[in-house]
Amino acid sequence: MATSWIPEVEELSPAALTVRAQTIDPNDPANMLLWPAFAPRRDVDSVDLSDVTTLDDRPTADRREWNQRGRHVPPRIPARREVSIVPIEAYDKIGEKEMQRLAEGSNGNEAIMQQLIGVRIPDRAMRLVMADYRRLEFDFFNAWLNGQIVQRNPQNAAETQTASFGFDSARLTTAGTAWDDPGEDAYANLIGFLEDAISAVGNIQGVATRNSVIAAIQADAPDLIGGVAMTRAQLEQRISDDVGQPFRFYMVENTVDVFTDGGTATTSTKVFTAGHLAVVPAGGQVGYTAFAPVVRAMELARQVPGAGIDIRGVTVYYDEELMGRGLTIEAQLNALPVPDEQRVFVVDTLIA
Amino acid sequence: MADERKILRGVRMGRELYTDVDELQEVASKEQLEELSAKGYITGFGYPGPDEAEQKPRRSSKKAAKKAATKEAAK
Repeated sequence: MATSWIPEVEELSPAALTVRAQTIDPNDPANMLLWPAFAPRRDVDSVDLSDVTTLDDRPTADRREWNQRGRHVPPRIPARREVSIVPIEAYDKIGEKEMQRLAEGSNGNEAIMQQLIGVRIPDRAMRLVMADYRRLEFDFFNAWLNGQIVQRNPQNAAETQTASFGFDSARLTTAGTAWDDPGEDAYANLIGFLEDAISAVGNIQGVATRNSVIAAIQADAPDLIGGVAMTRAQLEQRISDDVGQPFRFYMVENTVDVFTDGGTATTSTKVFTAGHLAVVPAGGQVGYTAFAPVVRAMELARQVPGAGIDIRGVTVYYDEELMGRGLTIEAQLNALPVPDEQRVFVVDTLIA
Repeated sequence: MADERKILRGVRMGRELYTDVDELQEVASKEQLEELSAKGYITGFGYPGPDEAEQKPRRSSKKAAKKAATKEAAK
């Protein structure tokens, strides 16, 4: 059976590419990923998580008389959730024609061909790694703001499956009337919302939202003496003074290119759902991102024990097609953002 | 299709938060319920699903005024 020689080249082997892929740091600001700050990585042992969410459960003990029993705290079994992580994967293909062109350009000289392809393959693989991380970014915001994760069939975007975290309806809320409606006072609405948020999540350090929401709040904010409108810095200070907590706006306008269907067309999509406003609790974390092992990473780690492969990190491997005529490079990640219900407090302001 | 009346997202009317279906229906207007249904935040209120298609076409305010005047005259 014909096989491709590419995976056999040391620098292009799945283990080498995996090690290289794992050097990409999601925390690097240049990568414009926010999930590592709001939901840092937490390693888990399995893709099946049974205790992924912290329950809104704060039992309190009682005082008792001497020689008596205290308060029985029964377990909250119905609120236990089972979540199974399905993999995130991106792939790229080196088709037969590209292989042909590469071979022609090098006149069949394998050393030259290795040089040619040695530059292209790692770059392609790294692009796939970032694609995986961006899916995680997109899913994180959907989990936080809407309490759900939508899984799509990559070949048919119309086939979707929505998994809900089942958060309480008092934590994921909506405005009855859009905050930018002439009859609504967006500033007063925000203060009321924050006061509720403080009793629901504890101390806060700000809100994450889109620019249009901040603009609506600023427009309705009290004017300074002399009728001068507040700057955003003054607005943050005023809100902080009004609610008695540190406060800043985390404006999220990042976009990612989401594939519209099974083809190559993409739509530039904001990661932060329009009109939503979410409280950022003190400390800045709203949950964690569960990283489960990838079976092929475990195989690679066994094969190359000295390479320091992270079995829960992004894993790159090849899949050969059509008797070696085509080669698919795949990058897989078994990760899931898991917001902590006690730290989630969101309102859809209905601002477009 | 009469699906269950449910609030999936609590509704904030001013500073009040409503998570009870009956309480919400008392304070929210038809337009508000329609918009919340369209966004999938509440279910079973008949907006803007098949229930609405079964409703009689809305009368224009002129027609409604004329009808009210006729009623009044009949008395």
